Amino acid sequence: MDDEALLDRCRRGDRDAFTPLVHRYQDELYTMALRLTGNPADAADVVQETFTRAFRSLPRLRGATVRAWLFRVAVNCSHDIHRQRSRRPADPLEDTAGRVLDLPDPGLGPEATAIQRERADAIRVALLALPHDFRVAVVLRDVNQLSYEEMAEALSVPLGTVKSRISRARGLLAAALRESAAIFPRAEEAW
Amino acid sequence: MVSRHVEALFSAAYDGELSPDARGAFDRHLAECPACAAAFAALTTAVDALREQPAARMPHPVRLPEGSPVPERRWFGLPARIPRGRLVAGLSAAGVVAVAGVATALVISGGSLTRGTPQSASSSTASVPTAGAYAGSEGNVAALPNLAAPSVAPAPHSAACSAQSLGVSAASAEQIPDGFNNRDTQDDGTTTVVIATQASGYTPGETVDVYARLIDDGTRAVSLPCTLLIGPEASRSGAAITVPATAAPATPAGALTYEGQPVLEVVVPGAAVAGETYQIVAQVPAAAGQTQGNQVSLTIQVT
Repeated sequence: MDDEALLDRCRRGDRDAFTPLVHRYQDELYTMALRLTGNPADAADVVQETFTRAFRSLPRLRGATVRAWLFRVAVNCSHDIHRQRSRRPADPLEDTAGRVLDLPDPGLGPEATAIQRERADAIRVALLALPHDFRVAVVLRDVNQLSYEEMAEALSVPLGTVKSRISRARGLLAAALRESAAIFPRAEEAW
Repeated sequence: MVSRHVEALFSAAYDGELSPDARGAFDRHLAECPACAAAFAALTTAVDALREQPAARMPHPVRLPEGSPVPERRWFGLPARIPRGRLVAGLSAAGVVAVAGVATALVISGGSLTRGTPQSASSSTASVPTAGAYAGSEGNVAALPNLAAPSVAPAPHSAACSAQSLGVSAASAEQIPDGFNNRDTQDDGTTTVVIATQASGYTPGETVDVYARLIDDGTRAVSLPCTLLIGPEASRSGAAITVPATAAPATPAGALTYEGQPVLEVVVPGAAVAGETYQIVAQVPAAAGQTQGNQVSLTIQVT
């Protein structure tokens, strides 16, 4: 059943119609939130809060696709949660480096796993260094692969703004990663 | 040096968005310009690296609220859940616009009800509950204006909302924290006012952190100004913004800090509409011998 049909059932009060939407989008939204916040616990909170807000207001959604709208809510939740976290000192027991980003691929050997981890770390640091709007732009485009039109809908900005933000964000990302040997191996290391 | 013209095309070229002619010209330029070729290769490598990162999985099940997803209706289709924080409205010209906007938007959101714009201030305000009615449904809804109050004239906020003394140095108060990029500093010769938000665009229902400081130019004492969210499209009388008598102040400092610095918080009304502007107004107390103080405002736009 497609999103619109599920949405229609939600609008008529069918609670069960909401669950397939959660299953359909939770991992996509979690991946987005993880790249935006750099922290697995925050990312899980973002997804939980996104669906809580969506559950309450999805039936009233008009004039946007479910997917773009969920991304919009999730981007706002990421922003809110990031700001809440930055208001208080870091919990010393919390892994603020957010190193547990993704489980390593069990098919890779230890060396390849280490390289994969280094690349993930470099990208996480580079993304977190981007200004918020640019980080959102490059994550929606290059992590979640939203179309320009979906991004315009999700961010409520004109298409031209979407394109210029993506362009600027990619330039900043490339500059931030330029010194990372994990992404740009030196000639002598690339054996 | 990389030509700006070609660099501006990198992202569109990466996405395959250039027309065949433009792509041909782009490739010819890269063939002749090693700097552009290297820069485009670097961008491609960086973006490919991001795209190749494995997708992650939500680590635990999402818990859904109890009940049905259709919001419970109250008063003319008002949903059960009001956006957290406070709704700013009043009975001055600006306030009536805000109230009308809320009522209209919520009637539309009700779905089955006929769309209608309130005919007058009294009809729009009569349908909206007072502060006490909200407080029970969401614990932290505080200081909602009593919209049924018969007062019309703008009034100073000296009683309900006054500046609070802060034990920080003037030098540190003038240092706006990183990330607060929508900012203004004004000095009238007596008091320096610093006010800043992290962004200039916010979505309906979104929380706005406000960094605001009053610095006495003589004593260098620092305080938090009474700060209010006024809108949409706040009315002005000359340079001053008309503050609705019932506008609720931002959350007082104490509970909230940003990197150790106290900040205030206001919430964009959930019924705000993209394109509207709101003003965050910091009130400067009247100096001795004056009846009315100044104000400094910062504009935010609903996106």
